[in-house]
Amino acid sequence: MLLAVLVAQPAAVGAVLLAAIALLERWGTSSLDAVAGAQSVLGPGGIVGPGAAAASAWFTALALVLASPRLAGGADDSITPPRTRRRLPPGGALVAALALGAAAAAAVAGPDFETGGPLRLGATAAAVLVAAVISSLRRPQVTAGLALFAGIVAATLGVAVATSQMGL
Amino acid sequence: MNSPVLIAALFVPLVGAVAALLVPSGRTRRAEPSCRRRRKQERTAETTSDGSDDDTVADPTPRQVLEPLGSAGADRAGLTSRTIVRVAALAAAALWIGVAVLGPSSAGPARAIGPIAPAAAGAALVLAAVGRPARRLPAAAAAAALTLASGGLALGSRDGGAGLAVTALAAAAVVLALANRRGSDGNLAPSALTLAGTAALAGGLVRIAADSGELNLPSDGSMPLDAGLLLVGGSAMVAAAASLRPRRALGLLLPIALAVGVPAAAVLGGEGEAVALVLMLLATASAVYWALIPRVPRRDVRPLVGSLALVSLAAAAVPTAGLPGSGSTIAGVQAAGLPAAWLLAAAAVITAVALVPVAALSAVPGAAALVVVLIADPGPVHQALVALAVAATVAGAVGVHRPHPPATEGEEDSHAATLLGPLLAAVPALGAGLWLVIAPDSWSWVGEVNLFGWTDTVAVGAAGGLIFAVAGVATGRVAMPGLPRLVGPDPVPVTDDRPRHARLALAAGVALGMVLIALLTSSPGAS
Repeated sequence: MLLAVLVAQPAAVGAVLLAAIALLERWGTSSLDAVAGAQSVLGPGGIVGPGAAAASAWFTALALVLASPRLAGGADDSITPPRTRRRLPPGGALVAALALGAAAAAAVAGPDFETGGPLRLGATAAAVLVAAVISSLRRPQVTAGLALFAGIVAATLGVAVATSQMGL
Repeated sequence: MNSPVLIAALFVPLVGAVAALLVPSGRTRRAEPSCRRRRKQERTAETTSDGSDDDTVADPTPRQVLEPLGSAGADRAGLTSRTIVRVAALAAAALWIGVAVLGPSSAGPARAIGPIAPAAAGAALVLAAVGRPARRLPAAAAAAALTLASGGLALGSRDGGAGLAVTALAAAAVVLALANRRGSDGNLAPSALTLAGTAALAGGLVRIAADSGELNLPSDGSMPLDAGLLLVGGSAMVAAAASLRPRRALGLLLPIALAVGVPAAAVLGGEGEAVALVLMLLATASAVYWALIPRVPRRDVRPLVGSLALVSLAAAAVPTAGLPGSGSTIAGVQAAGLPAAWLLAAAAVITAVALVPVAALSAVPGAAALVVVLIADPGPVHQALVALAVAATVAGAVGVHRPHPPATEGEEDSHAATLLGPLLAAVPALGAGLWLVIAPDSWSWVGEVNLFGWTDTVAVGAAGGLIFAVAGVATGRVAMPGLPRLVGPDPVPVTDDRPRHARLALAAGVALGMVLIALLTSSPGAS
């Protein structure tokens, strides 16, 4: 929810919300600590569980990294009038990329640092890198649209898992 | 210790109303001719102008000479009255917040438990932001309505007091409708909607009294469906009408309506799913309307306020079996969405006071709490509600990003001239909103929110953001951000038109009177 405030773009907001819902559907809690604890016991979310649940985790991560807001500058600025132009400064975009990357890593490979520290750190670094690369792309509408699609798929799979009681 | 604060909170608006009435009107009555003499003078003037062919300008009548002077005096009196009422409302808000912080309190028959003090504080803050019409009588009437509404809530919290609360709300609605008409505020349709909603509330209580012989909301799921629908529908109507007039006195009924409607929606039981779905559909439609309809300016956040109010009622109506993580089942049929509903209601009131889109961010914890509750029991209706909540949020984001024409110089000047009063109310409201976003768990009166680790996450995020922002500003990579606008302009145009929809308001008032008579005769103490 808080990440949705951070990304601010409508499609990206939808993507982040749907990703959060998918995470909530699968783990049954909004607490990242609780998600990490569950993954410490059961295994990384992107590997363990039924196929639909694992796929939901991967789509959740995809939605989160694709929702990264764009760095300042780019070709699209000429299209929108100055009053309506919305862009984050580089520092702000990096903060958003860091937060979204960390959340994406927590969805796929998010055990406690005590039990799976290297895995989580590696996943976080990779996800932050991907998010930063995506935020530098020149087609933010396309990435936000893809993020929304990924979020819808993740939430749908999460709902399917939750309603069919397929377990974690 | 709490009793004096509660008593002061109840009576400060009344003192403000009396003080506003005691302000000299500023009209020079003695110099003004009587109606009879004025008609005679006008007839004489007409005869003179008809009978003469010359172009000489007739001498102005004494009224024509004195009217500008009298009007200026009346304007000053109106502004003074508004200032007095604003100060009284701010004082009342501070006292009610004190009551809420100090905990449950009672003074004689009045009690302040649960959401009563926060709702009364919200109503006082909404009134403190009101600046128009700057006339003596409407200002005093607004303060009197605040006394009635908050007093009704405090008196109605005891057993069998629901009738008293609704009667006080009806009295406040009637006072505001009359003041609205007197204040030449143009559109009486929101007043008519308020009166009709209050009539529906009273009708719901009549139905409960007929069914159970008591005037209490049944907590065991035995409330008749039609009574529940009347109560929730009536609350939604009053809340919607109040959302349409956020910078008018009618807006103060928004928190009161939610304080009545949310508990009523929470005891709907299994039937609440359909009600929640309808309310959520309306809320989403309102958000989409704000976001996509070009003629609704982005600065006009009234649809957003209405949307939040309806979502809060919908959240209260959602029945659910349990909460994730806790492993406990919610006892009885009391909806587990109640804490989320209160959080969303608080966000609606905060947004109504500040009237800026950023204030709607205070709804984030409430929305998160609602989603947690809905996903805990994943049925088709709950999934649909989640989808609608996401759609409403995305619509809100679209609305924030929608291009809009910049405010004209005249609009900016007008906004700046009327900024101070609403700002005095918006600052504490936004402070409460910030508190809500940072630590929703500390709002103990809403119940158990079940947002595990929320405050820690916000703290870590805020600290990280702050470190990056400071580093960015220090290295020159990030420009120092400007302060967002803390208070929005008055979205209701000022008109001096003759009151419209007066017959509608009259019909609604008559209906309300009839239902109130039925309520009085059907109350257990009447026989």
